[in-house]
Amino acid sequence: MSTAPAPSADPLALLAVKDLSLRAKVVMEGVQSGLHRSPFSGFSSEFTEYRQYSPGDDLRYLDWRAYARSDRYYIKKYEDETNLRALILLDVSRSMRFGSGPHPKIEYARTLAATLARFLHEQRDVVGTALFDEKVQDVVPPRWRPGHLNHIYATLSREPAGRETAIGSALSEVARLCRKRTLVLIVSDFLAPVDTWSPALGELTAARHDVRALQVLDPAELNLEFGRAAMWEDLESGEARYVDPTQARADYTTQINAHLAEVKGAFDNYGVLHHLTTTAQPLTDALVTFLQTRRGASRGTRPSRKDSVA
Amino acid sequence: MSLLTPFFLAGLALLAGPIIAHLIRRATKDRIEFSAIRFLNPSKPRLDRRSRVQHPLLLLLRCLIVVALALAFARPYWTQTTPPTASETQPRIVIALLDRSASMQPPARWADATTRVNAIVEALEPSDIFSLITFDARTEILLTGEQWQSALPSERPGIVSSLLSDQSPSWSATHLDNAIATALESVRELNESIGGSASSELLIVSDLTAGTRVAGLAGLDWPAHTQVKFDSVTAASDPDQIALQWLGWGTDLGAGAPARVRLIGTPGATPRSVSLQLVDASNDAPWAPPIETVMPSSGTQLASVPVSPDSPAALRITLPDTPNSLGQSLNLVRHVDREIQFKIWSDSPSSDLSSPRFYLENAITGWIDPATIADDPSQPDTPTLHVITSPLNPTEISTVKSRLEAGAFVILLANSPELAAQAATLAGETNWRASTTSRSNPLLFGEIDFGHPLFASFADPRFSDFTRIRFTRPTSLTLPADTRTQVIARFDNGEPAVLETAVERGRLIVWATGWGPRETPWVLSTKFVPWLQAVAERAAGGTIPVAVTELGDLSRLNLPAESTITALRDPDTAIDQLTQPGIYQVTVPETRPRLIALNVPASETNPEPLAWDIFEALGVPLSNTLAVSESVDVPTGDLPESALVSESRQRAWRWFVLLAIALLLVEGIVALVINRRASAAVPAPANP
Repeated sequence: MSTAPAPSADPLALLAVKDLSLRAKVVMEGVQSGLHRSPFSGFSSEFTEYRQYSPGDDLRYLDWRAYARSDRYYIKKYEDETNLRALILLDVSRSMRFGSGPHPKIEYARTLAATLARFLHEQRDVVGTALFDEKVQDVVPPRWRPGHLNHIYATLSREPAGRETAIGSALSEVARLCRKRTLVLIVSDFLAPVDTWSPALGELTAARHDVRALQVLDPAELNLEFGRAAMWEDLESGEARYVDPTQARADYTTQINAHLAEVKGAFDNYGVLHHLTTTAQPLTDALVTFLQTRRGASRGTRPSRKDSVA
Repeated sequence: MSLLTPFFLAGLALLAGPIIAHLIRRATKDRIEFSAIRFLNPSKPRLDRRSRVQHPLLLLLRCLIVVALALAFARPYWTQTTPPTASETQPRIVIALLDRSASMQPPARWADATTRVNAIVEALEPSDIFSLITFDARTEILLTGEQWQSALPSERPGIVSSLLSDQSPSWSATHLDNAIATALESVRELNESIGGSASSELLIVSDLTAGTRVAGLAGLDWPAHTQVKFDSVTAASDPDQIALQWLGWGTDLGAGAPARVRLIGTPGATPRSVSLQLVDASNDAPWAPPIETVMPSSGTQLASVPVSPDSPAALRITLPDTPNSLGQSLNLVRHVDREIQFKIWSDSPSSDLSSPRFYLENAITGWIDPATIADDPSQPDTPTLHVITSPLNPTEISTVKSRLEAGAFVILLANSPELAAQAATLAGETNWRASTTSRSNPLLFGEIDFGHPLFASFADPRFSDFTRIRFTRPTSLTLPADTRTQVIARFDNGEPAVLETAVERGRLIVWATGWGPRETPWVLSTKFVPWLQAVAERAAGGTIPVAVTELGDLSRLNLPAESTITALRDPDTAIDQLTQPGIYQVTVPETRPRLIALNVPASETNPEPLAWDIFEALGVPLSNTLAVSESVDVPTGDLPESALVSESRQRAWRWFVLLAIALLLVEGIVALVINRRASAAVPAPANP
């Protein structure tokens, strides 16, 4: 007896759904069933620290054993009590509108961002979003209140008018906007030259923001199994050149792989978690892989225990 | 296949457009958007052979569209010598329609027409079925198809020739539509008799003037394989020719009513002076000095010819300076006013407002037929309408009775039993019982016979409201069972209100009430004067009949069946049928003789030819071998008529336009399929 595939399994079918919130809900269900044990499994699940009692604190959290041991009043603090601030940064430049199939990359990335927002929101974390192309625009500050998620969905659904990508300046602006420590999730194709944005990434990590990168590419961008001999025009710069894909495929594959290696090197250099996915991959798988990789990475590479609060 | 406008074939040069477009490579237009162009190295373009045509099927379709459109504009047609669907084994039906209307009166024109009919007969094959129809306002079948078939082929031309020799043009109008309808009926009958659908041809021998009636052609159902061919006979028109048309009598401004006439000439002729002469029709002597007017180049002029009251009754207006032509003279009968005389038998003076006399005398002023009051009771011979409001003495009763028997009308207002008894005496009856009482609640008209001439003018629901007319002192009349008197109106209590009876040649009308304002508001109502005028006109002989009319419109003369007609110049010879223009005297027993004037129909006097395209507009299947004389205005310029008519009948250009539309549809579908295939060959980018 065969089981029916999950609704989120086919990106084509999912992206055909117009409603972004519905898409996020479907992917979310898939994510929850895909994770064996949620890292965000409950309220007060993980002790973080003690702090000294001060009048007005809730006596339920007074640690009587510590009082017995030390004759001092201590309040136990759990990780859920420290709400996480998250900002999802979505690339809406012209290059994200490319797609060899019926849906462009931006739809895939938009669904990923919406699902992440819902995910965090259900964890009672404060989550915000910002769209960027040449600069950051349409910023929704991190909040937790009724209707905020719908506000995020509406912002993510907005069709941008920008052309070129400027990840570097966008990251610099985020560093300026986020005064408090924030989990910054960047969803982009990262096709811009690495040297234009890696210094800004360094600034962001230096400000102790937790930065994660989710790179979304079209399969055709990886193997150039696309197009025909014609004038090829760059979506962002408008530069045109005659390209025959059968002739150019080998060189292209070499160059794009070199670029991807460079991107990965830049992220590793700054300790930024990086995950590459293609639009052919089911959204649920992409997210589960991303989250599980994050967990593993946090155990292995993150120096601070507090970094895993998300 | 021939072309009506072959210069439109120059449009075939547009074929170069699609051919060049298909030879040009579309590589420069083909663009693909990509996100990471900086990782792509430019490729060397592959060169295709320049001579290769892209999508040859599309190119063929597009070229065919251009060719179809060019051919449609060139208006192609096919020339045929015989109708393509006619069966060679079946005989041909040929019906000649000979115009014998007034416009064919010129001897040369009539001779030409008969010669043409004879020529048609000579050209017929022995197997052809021929029928001959003459027409003016009346259509007559001179020779039926059966008669033609029953005659020996060698005798047939002689039969037709003898039939034609007995014919002559009439003075009636041309009703071509009736003639063609009759001919089509003959075609159907002949088709039924031969048991098939033979090709038929209607050959119309006519001068086709502008007055020819063709309106009835629009509703005709044409049998299959029927064609119409016009054989137009037109004599050379004289630009100085002028015809007169009767319009009517003008307003009498004291010097007699003038005669209003229209002068119809040739449009575009040089303006010139024309004199109109009023002539005594009895001896053709000029009666008044000629009237000068100017005939403008537009070809139409209106003129008013004074006719003094002392002029003779029979007149004629002629054009002495113009050449002899149809409608050159106009016969008239002078308009004479008809006087209606009233005699009011009343004791009251004219100034007594409570008497009906005052209202009667005021009501009869200003009538078109002048009405007068005869005051002298010693000469009661002439009055045609007597109104009795007061009781008469026995002498007066006998006087009125004699006038009544002689044809006068009498209105008697029986407002007392004495007057009611006198009414019975005048009616020649007895046992009329009457009583008069004052009523506190007045009576109304309860029942009125609107079909009777007395009240017929009020039959329309807008005028039939008599509820405001009340009667406070009606006379209760009871008639014997065997009375001849007809009750025209009754009061609402069922008693007679208005009665009429015939007394010899006269009529007695009795009102069972007086007309004084204290008795009824009838004389003050708006219905009183029209009612009185209708009675007076009836007493004077009814509506004045028309005295001047056209031949073919004789019904307007309203001639009784027992009338005797004689010509003005020859009063001793009675005429059975009015067929020629002139002035005639009509005598009806026991009435005064009256004169009538008959003229040539105005439609026949118009020298203009009929607009040729009217037949095409009316759906007449014209033959492709027209024989039209030079003077008919054919709007084709230098082209032969047969080409234009054939093309307009076949209308092949419509099929080429339809072909072009069909090719366009196919081309669109093919282009769509090619595009889809090209798109399916390589994945299309999703970016906008």
